[in-house]
Formats: sequence, C-alpha cells, structure tokens
Amino acid sequence: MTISGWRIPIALGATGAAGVAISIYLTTVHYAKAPLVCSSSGVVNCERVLSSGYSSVFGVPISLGGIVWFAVLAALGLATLLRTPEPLWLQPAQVAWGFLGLLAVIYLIGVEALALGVLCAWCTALHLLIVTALVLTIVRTPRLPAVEPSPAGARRGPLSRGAAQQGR
Amino acid sequence: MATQRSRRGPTPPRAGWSGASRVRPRQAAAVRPPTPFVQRYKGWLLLAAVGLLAIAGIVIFAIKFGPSNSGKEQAAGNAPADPAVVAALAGIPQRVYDAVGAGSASNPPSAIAAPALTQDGKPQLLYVGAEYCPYCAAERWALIAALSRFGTFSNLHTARSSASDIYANTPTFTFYGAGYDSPYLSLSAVEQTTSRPDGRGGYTALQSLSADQQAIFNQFNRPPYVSSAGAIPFLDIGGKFVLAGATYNPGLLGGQDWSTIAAQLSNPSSKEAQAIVGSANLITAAICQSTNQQPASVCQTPGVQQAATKLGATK
Repeated sequence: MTISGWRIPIALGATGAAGVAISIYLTTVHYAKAPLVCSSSGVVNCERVLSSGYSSVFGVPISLGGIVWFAVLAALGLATLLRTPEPLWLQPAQVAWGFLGLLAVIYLIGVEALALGVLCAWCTALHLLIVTALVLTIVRTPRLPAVEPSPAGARRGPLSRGAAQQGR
Repeated sequence: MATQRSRRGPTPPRAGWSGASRVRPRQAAAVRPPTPFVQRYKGWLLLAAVGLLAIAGIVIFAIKFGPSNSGKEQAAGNAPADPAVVAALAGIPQRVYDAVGAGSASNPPSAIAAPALTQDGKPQLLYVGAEYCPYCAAERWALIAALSRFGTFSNLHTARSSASDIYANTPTFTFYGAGYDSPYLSLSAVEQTTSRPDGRGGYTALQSLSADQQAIFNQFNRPPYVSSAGAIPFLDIGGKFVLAGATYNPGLLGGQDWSTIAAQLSNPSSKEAQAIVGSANLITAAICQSTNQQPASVCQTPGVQQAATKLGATK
C-alpha cells in the first residue's frame, strides 16, 4: 500500500500551521506575562514549566524556536504540492527536519519529567504534532519524475538522441 | 482470468504517458530509477523514530524512579528539591532543637482570640506567601522544619525570591504544588505569585485566596495582631496564633545554596541553625497549642518548651 497524493502534504501543512499557532500563543503569553489557559495544579502544570529556567535560552523563549520549526515544516509540506514532480532532496529534508524535532521533543520531555516533575499540556500538544509530522514524512510516497521507458536493448546511461526525442 | 487477459494483447499504456512515448512492452525495457533513500529505508526510519522514543522513555523512567535518583543539587529554582536537603531539614537532630530553643529568632507568633481554624477535623495552618517574597523565602525553611515534626512533605520544589527585590535570589522552597500529610494538622498554603515579573511592576499571579482565607487575612493581618497590615508571609496557626513577616533576616541565606544551608542545621551554634531552628521551635510551640500538645514527643521537648515562653500574648 502506498500513501501518496496531496493528502499528506496538506496534513503536513496543517500540522505546521497548528504548531505555529500554539507556539505563537505560548510566546505571546511569555512576553505579555499573561495567565495561561491550562491546569496549574497536579501533574499537568503549564505555568510551572513555562516559567521555569528551562523555558528560555539566553532570555529567548524556546517557543520562538517552535514557531520557526513548524513554519519550516509547513513550508516543506507545501513545497511538495507546489513542485511537481518534487525534488529528490525534499523528502529526505523533511525526514531530517522531523528527526531534529524528535530530538528536541525527547530533550523537553526529559526536562519536564526529570527536572520539573510536571507536564505542560500545550507543550505535549506540540510534541504530538512533531511526532505525527515525522511519521507522515516517512510514510508518504514522493511524487517523483515519471519513469521513462527506453527502447529494447538500450543500455542505461546518457540518453541517445532517439531516446531523448521520446521524452516529453 | 489473468491468462484470458494476456491473450487480448498488451496492457494499455498508463494514463499520463504521451503518445510519443507509447512503446510496445516487448520492445521496451523500463528504466528503473534508483529507489529514493526514504522509500528504501522507510521501515528502518520508522524503527529509528520509535526506538529513539522508546529508549528515551526507558531512560527517563529509570532516572526518575531508579534507586540512584538522589544527592543531585538543583542549580536553578523551581526544580524538585534535593531529597537529601529535604531530609536534612525534616530530620534536624533533637539535640539541636533542644540546644537552640528560640535561638536568634524574633517576631514570634502572637496569640489571638478567634474560632478554631480546622480542616478535615484537624487544626489547620494557613500560610499566605509568594515566591518573589524574600521574607517568605526565609520563613519557609523554618516552616518546613517545624511542619516536618508533625507530618511529611512531598513534591517540594526549590525556588528563589525575586532577583530584583531586596535580599535578591534568596534560596528557598515553594509550597506551590507540594503535598503535606499529617495526622495532627492540615496545611493550607497559598503562594500568590511567582517570582517572575509581570511587566506591570508586580509578579505573575499563581494562586488566589478563597473567600474564607481572604476574610482571615483581612481580619488578622493587621495591628494589633501583627505589627503592620497586609504583610507576607502570613500564618494563621489553628486560629490560635498569627504571624506576619519573617522571624529572622533573609540576608542570612544570601549567596548560599540549599545544601550548604541544610548542612549548617546540624550545628546548633551556626547562625543558620540559630535562626532557622529557633524559628522552627517558635512555630512548633504555636502549633502545639492547637494540637493539644500532641505529639508529646515533639511538644514536650525542652527546645519547644523554651520557645513557647517567647510566644506573643493574646491580642
């Protein structure tokens, strides 16, 4: 079974858009010092996670990194739709980007579970989006250039003039 | 069926091929393009992703629940408190309590004439403070030590007072998210804000007082019960004693880490023990007034008895 067509690129774009939206929300809350729409007691405690020293690097909230990551993901997803056939490098780039996100997810879950002892619901939503995006990029079938038949007996290599004339 | 179909002739060309490219299958051999990397290793890539998550999950689980999860000092605030520090605070030797008595602590709890403050049939200790507040930071050390003589804390986190207020970055703990279990009394702790500035001159809100708590705060957190109105930390100990402000100078803790402070608590002549253990004895003596001097193993000890003589008279 293959998974191809426009569905997965659209899903990647939607995943990226959702991630950008959540990341913008978290970044806005960070700078506006506004209260979060999230549980603030028990195991799920967004306030504790997002006000901890782990939530920013050199004063820059890591949710800004989330905006960038999801924006690139969406762009890579849309590039699949806009370029037909798609470039050979596109899917490997998407998968590499997904694995980069996965490493970040693992680090952040470690921080939540080990250093802070609580989970952030918004962060978990972003983590799920990243893992989903990675799986989608791996399982999708790329829309590569159509396979050209060659005359019987033709050897693989540079196309002969006759063979080239058969191309589209 | 397939045999019949093959007899009809060659399979029609696929849609999308141009007429010019129509080549009879027997005359053409399809050029197989190299399989794209991701397609070739799709299974391995999925396995790698799942494997990474699984390994990370196992490692996190092992670290969090493994036997070696102890003795690591947390460098920053709002991280789980080092169990060794909590244990040192909860296990201050009895000889130290007895040797220190009220120590260098000042501003003892004052008795009040009010209805008993209870929760779940037990005397209740109401604490009102904030994570930014350096006086709360100082008082939590003594409060945790005192309350640990009656019960057990769980999920305590380290914190620091505001970096921009007086006695900046005083190392402490937060009661936010912490649990406390005791057969003798209940703890109701409210940390009103974090130590994170809200951009409007205050700090990010954390917890709110209930209507009943607010009424108690308004009624007793003012003269003549306490020296000034509205100060934090504020304690109402079973409706029998109130305390506002710290019982020692927070500057004593400045520049130290949690482990260093905790280590000094076993030395009765140290400044830290004189202040923190002395304050703990004062608070313990007030709590004992609410628990009918129970447990006797705590309330009848020389250190608590000595501190009890320092408690403020009824106002």
